[in-house]
Amino acid sequence: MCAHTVRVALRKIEGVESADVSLKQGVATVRFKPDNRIAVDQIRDVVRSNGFTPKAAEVRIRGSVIEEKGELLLAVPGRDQVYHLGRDPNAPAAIERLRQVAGREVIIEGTAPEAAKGQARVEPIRVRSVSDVIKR
Amino acid sequence: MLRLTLSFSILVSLVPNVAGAQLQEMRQTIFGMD
Repeated sequence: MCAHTVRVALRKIEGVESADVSLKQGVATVRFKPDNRIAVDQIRDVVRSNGFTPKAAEVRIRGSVIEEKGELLLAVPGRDQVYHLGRDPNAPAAIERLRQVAGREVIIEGTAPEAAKGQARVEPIRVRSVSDVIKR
Repeated sequence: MLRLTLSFSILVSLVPNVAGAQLQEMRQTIFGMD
């Protein structure tokens, strides 16, 4: 198993536009097609099944911000993908911005922390920036 | 007739935006494989 194996496996996933793996940098960079239904965990499962351990990831995700019982989520009605959103200590203003755009569709950038071993709870994505979706 | 038209407009405005919650890019740090 090597970088090539992971790269091929990632490119095989439906909805992946491109995938590159650098073992020197220890990073797999994946770009996705519009309207894909891929979840962060799906990519991590492929990395894991090819013999590597997935750590934290930098992600850019488009979706609708929902505030539910004080929690911020990124979701779309009718789909089962929901990302919990949290505060990035280095960008505390981003979480306030999220509350302001609740109900709107945005693009968020942030860090998806490494999944804690044996914990069912998904760690929130630490949001660094929020930007509006430019309608075509 | 006018009443029907108005009802339709309201319904359209309530349809949620289903453009999609999508991953656009991911830089996954990987570790392992000696």
